[in-house]
Amino acid sequence: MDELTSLGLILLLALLAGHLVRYAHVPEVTGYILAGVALGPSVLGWVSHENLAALQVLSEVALGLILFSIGSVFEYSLFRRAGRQILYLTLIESVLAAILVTGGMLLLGQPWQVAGLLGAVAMATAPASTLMVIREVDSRGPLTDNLLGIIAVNNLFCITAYSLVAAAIDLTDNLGGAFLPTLYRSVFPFVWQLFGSVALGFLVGLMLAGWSRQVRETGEMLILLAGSILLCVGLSRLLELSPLVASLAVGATMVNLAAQSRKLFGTLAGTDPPFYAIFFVIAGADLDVSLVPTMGAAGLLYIVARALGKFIGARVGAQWLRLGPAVRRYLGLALMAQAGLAVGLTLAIDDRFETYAPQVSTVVLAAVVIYEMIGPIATRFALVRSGESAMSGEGPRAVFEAGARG
Amino acid sequence: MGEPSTTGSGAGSDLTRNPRYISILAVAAGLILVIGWLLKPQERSTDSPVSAPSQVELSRLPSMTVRRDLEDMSEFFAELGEELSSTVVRLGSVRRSGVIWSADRVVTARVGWRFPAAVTVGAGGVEVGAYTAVSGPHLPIAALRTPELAGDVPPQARPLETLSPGEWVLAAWQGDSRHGSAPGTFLGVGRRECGEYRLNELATSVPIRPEMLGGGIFDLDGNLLAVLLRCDGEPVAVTVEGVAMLLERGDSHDSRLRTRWGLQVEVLTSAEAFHFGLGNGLLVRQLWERYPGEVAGLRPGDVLLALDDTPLQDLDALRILDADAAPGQEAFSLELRRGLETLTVSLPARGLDTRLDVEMPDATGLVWEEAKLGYPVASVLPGTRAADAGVAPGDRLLRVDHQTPESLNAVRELLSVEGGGPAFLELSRDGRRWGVLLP
Repeated sequence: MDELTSLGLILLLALLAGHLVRYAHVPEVTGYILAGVALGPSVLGWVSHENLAALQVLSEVALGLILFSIGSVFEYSLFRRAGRQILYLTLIESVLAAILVTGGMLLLGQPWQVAGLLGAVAMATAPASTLMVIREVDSRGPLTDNLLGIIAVNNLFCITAYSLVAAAIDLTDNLGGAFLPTLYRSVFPFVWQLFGSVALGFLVGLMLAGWSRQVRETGEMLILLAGSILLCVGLSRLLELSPLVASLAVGATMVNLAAQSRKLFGTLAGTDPPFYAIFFVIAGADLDVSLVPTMGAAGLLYIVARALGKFIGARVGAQWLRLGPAVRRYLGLALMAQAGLAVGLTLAIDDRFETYAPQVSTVVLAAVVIYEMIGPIATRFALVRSGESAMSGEGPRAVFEAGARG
Repeated sequence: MGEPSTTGSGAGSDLTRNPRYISILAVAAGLILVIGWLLKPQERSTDSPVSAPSQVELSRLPSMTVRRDLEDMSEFFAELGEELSSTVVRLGSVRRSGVIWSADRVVTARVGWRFPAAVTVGAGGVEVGAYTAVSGPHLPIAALRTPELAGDVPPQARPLETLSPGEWVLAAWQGDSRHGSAPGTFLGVGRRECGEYRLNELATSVPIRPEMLGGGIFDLDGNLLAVLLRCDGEPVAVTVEGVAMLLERGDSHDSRLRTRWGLQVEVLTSAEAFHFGLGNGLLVRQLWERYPGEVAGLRPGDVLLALDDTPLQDLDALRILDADAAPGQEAFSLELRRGLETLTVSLPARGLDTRLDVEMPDATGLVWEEAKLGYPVASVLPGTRAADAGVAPGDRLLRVDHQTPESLNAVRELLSVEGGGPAFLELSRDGRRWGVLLP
């Protein structure tokens, strides 16, 4: 099947699936992902790997736009007010998830290198699907604000943890070699990808902010945005930086430097659904459901330990910071989703640590299938039950709006 | 709409307010990129950036798990191959593998003109001597009798009816310096011509190479399924049933005659008795070149009348040739009729003259090949007497009724003189000579 037909099928079936799942009170994102699984190579095979590769550009644009949107949480005054709280929450939930996964793997007899890598990967929460659920249920409130902040910062923590574990593995595996050069080679990638990506994102964001002052039309705004995001992602790959961090940095720069940032984000929210549908359907098509039965005890442990770590960590952190009941009860549930970054880390591990890659990939790729399905559902459940969603029958927002109507 | 909140007081600070500050940050960002790129370690290209993977990278993901499964499989086959090394032995003196068939018997492929009478068998790091019990120019197999091989258990045989197409099998053999194995899948069982026998062939996806001859094909439990032999110049996996049949045939008196003397003898048929004008006797049906029978001067078509003055009525009368002669006896005396002549031929009493196996170079350093004798048959028309007698293209005609034609015209003349009547043809092919009565 050629790429255009694939693309048409993707969009139409995604729309259909998105409508259908609403009856089951399941997020549209899950519908898109299920449509992707059905269309993809592991089930119907109507969309092949070659088709998916050809649609890569659209997927890249979509992910860049999503991360760009999330980057807006780094607005200075907002972050100054709530930044410490978000950092603490992220640290506690991420670290607890990592500790539980690492400890569990060690108890299962896995080598410490595999346990450490899996622990680092377990910290990641999928920003894309979480943001889409937030938009779909139209939630606002402290839970939503904290959630957005956490999914922005969480991936930075995850990359940092991975880099530290990778450096430790390099240093212990190269004990015969010189220490300083090995340390330099191990630590530099992390430093480069963090600071270099932020620097690149800042420069592209600066260009975007400056140019957006001259742009009035919605269409032109979209062209400018798409072009800037693609430029950012492309340059990131060229310079071996992290497109994820760079796109976040573009959004952060925009929101802090451009007077029109609100209009730009609003424009983005109104016009990017086709990109997101494509992105999630492609993500679903790439899931290999046949891996689930092969995950074994390690995979099961990973799923349970990560979920517990996120849930308990968020609850403990919210309790300690004296946050509201909605945040305490539901924040952990909302952090379940895991996808792109976990898969990206697995590929990086395959490139860098061939010895450990098979064990890591078996666990992570199977777990991603599970988390991509249940994660958005858990997030939706959390946001609706917290009362912050427009779909909540009761709760602070509904009560407020009812009061406003008199 | 659940958008990221932008309600902070500093939302969207205008560029124009702090241009200097922004410029400093932009320069710093540029410097970070330039310096970082310059300081990047060059040698490792494996530090790929952690990011959302591209579709091309994602398409690699299924292969990663499959790779692990394949690696596990390779390890399993290697371990099974190691276990089978106690079942497949090395025959050092003939540089071939052999499969332990029973507690004191090893089977291997018979390749080459003659199989040695004694062979060394290497098993478990120890070399023991073995003597050849079954072998003959008509057989693709050789069987050796060995002292009990300590620690080596003969494999169980598995009935082929229990094998399903697609099931994994493993070929195992002993190379010069190490054990070899190759996995494949079972495809089915076919019938195959192997010299004068029709055998069951085990078809698998394993490519059988000459160095594997004498080895075996096993299932994943180590049960023997087939032995790798050579049939009509090609390596073939002959099933266990086929091997058992060959061993049984090889243990017969007829087979021992062929093995030791290169001689196949049959009782005269009534047509042959009429043609030769003899009431009884044993007809020399086949001879193999460079075996004692042919070297002693026997020919296909000779009718054996007496051995050491004892008249020959049936094949059992030749049983004395199975064993060594009495002490002091140098040769067996054979009386025979060739055409109208009665001749006596002497067969050496002990062993084979192995000098016949080796072509020695002469003083110039040249090794010669014997010129091919006879007149090659180009084609045989179906439905003719020659076709009915089994003559095939490629056979070489040596004699007609014991007469050697001097030219092709002489051949035609001889055959036309025989006209519509029967004629006894002596033919040869690939070192084997045999006689047929053209009806």
